[in-house]
Amino acid sequence: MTTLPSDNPEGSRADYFATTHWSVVLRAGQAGSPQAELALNELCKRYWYPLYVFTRHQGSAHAEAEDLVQGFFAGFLKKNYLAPLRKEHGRFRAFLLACLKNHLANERTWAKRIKRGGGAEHLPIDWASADDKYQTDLVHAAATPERSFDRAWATTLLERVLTRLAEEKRARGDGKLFEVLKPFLMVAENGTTYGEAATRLQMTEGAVRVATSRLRNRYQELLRAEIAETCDPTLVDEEMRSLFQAFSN
Amino acid sequence: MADEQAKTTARVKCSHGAQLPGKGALAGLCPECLLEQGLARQTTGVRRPFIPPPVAVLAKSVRGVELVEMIGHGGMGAVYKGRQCPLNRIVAVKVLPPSGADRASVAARFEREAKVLARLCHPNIVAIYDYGLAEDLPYFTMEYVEGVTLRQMLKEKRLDFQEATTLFLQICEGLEHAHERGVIHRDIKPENILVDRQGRVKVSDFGIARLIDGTETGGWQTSEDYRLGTPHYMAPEQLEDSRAIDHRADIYSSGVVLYEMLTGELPVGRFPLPSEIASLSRQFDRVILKALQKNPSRRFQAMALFKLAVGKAVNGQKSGTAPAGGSKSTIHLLAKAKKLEQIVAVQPFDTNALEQLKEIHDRLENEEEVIRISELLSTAYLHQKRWAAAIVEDQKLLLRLPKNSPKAIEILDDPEGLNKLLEASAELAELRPDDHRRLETLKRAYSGLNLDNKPDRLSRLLAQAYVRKGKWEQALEEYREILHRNLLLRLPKDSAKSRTLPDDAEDLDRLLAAGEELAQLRPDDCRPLELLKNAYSLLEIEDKHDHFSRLLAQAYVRQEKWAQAIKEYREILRRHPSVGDVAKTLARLVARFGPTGAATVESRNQGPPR
Repeated sequence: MTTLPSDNPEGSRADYFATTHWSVVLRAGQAGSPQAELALNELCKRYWYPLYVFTRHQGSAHAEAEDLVQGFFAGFLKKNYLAPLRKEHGRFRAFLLACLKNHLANERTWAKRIKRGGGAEHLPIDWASADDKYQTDLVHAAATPERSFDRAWATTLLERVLTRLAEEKRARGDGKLFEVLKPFLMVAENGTTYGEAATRLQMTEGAVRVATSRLRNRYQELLRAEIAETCDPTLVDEEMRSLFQAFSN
Repeated sequence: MADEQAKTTARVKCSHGAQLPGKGALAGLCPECLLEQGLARQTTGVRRPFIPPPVAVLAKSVRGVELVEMIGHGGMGAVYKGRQCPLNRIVAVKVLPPSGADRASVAARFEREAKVLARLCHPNIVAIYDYGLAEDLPYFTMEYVEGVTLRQMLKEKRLDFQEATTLFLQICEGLEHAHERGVIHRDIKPENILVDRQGRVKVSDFGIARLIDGTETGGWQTSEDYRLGTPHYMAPEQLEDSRAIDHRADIYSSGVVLYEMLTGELPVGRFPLPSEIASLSRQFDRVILKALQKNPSRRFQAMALFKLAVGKAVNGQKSGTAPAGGSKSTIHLLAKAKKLEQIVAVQPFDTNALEQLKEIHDRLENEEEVIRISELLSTAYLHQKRWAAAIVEDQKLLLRLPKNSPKAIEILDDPEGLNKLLEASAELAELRPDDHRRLETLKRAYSGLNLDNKPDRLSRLLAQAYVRKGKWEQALEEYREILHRNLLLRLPKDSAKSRTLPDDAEDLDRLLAAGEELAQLRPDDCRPLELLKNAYSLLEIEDKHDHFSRLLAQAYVRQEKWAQAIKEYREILRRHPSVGDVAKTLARLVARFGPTGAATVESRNQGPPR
């Protein structure tokens, strides 16, 4: 397996000049490049779960879905899927789903499935937890496989953002603060009041409000940054809205 | 912790009625809600955390500077210490985060802003020496301030009264200077206020907020420590729309800073009055509350006024504890003032002498002295283009008020204070009606203060002064300006009651009379005629409207502007189809020059129609 880009915050030159993963992939376009490959690899590593959910929702059982997705990645990363990539493919999410559908269709047409991923690179995916997650997740309650794909995408993305946020806060010694204030990241009533949070944290209510405001700001930044990794930077708002809509009934 | 988390999870109910994930990073959180939070504050650009480039990367890119080390970084950029080579002087280099916009527009915009910032030159503002792009990142080379930020000072200890007010008045000075040059800071907070080893305040990061916010053509990205305006220091209108703010947003932010400096707390929510939590006079309550008014028009309208009010409150606080200086020191002061007066009278640009004189002036009691020095100061301020300061002096001068007199305080504390002040200045202008330079500067001062209609009165005086001097072009410009402000903007075209202009009907009458006078003096000048015609049309005063339409048409004919003349006559005829002579003239013109007057060129030699 090739090494993946690190999340090293100190940053090499590439980190701060280079743009987001998806834009690297897009820019490489047809020609392809080691960087683009790395970026694509990283993206797939992050967003395998929505593909699994989609496959499951289409009727595959756990083992089958595992095979299909792993097979898809093997082919996807090996073959030059990027060849027909055009600028309109502003969003990795849409692109990935289109590729997956194509792959699944091919698999079914051939009826027999070659042993997937034989000798090919495997993404380090925690398949064991996938089924468990799928069963307990709310994403599969969606009406269509596409919707559940989007929902799974959104939760995966949010999980990443919250994990990063938690790590950041913990590194600053604000782990407890984060745990207590986390519910305030939701726009809806969260069942806790600032007063209660203040008591638990032994802070003044004013200080809690300030901390919450900072937490929200940082959350928004990380969320946007994370989304920007997967689409044209100008489409961040649009992408966020479509993910939001995946939940509305 | 796990227990605690479970408890939270159990209690969480989301209004979307969604089943919430039970474990993982999203435990107890509703994804829909989280995405909505993400959408809650729409921003145009992409926000990624900014990772400052190491010294080695930038080493060769900052013009004329050898970078030594990075001395700090936040979301708003990174600051490096460097040595400016030929001068061997230590400088600070601030590198801004990369922008989402394309390179050309970023560079252009940055250059525009940098040039404005470079114009600021004041002991209480961090000076900018140079700017450019280093590895595509915009940077400023600026004064290196050895000291601490006000934030660090506040963290260390509670400032005493003397320290706090001395520092704050310097912040005011710096901001006043910037506002007079049309630069708004936009992000006043203790982090942006540096205090050097000598205790001198240096306000930094002017306008960077706007550069980074980049709401126009795409701007710089931001990250955690930098959020456009830290919410607590931000004026309410800035939270609404950071683009539509003026210098009064800085006044609000400084008010928050003053509150924090004096009380150690932030004025959040229903905050206590400063005098309730610190031993301060009630005067401070009034001053700070005024700066923190939600509505910008109820705040101090200029930094100079805020500063003045704080200065008075400081004096009040001090005089409560210590008696005023004796007669001996007064004599000494007067002698010193005399000397300074002489200097300032000859060299109005000697800021140092001016400031000293100002300081003495503030301490003088004798009315005569105060008035005389006020006049001198006012003139010097006008020379220096410090409009707001000049107005303050004018006001003092005119109202013949010694400082600290109850009346003066009343005027300045009153929400109407500024209005009175402006009226006073206008009176001053009336006293010296032919001093059009002074009028001009005053008018600009008002425009600079963003007071909607205030310049009108001055415009009118100015126009009259121009007429008397025979400077028609300028006079006309003034009239046009006033008419535009008063009529074209204020009245809806179909307004039936526009005839009864509420407050300034009289002014307008005089104005129109002056316009007519001008039209008579210059019958061939079409512009005043046009203005008058439009004005009367808007006012729906028909006979005057017709009168000036005709005069205008005739003027066009005299100037052989056939097309316009035809158009004008047509218009009259449309309003009054039965006016015989107009119809005849029009017919003649059309016969000679075609229905649009387009035949002008060929027919030129044949002269005007008989």
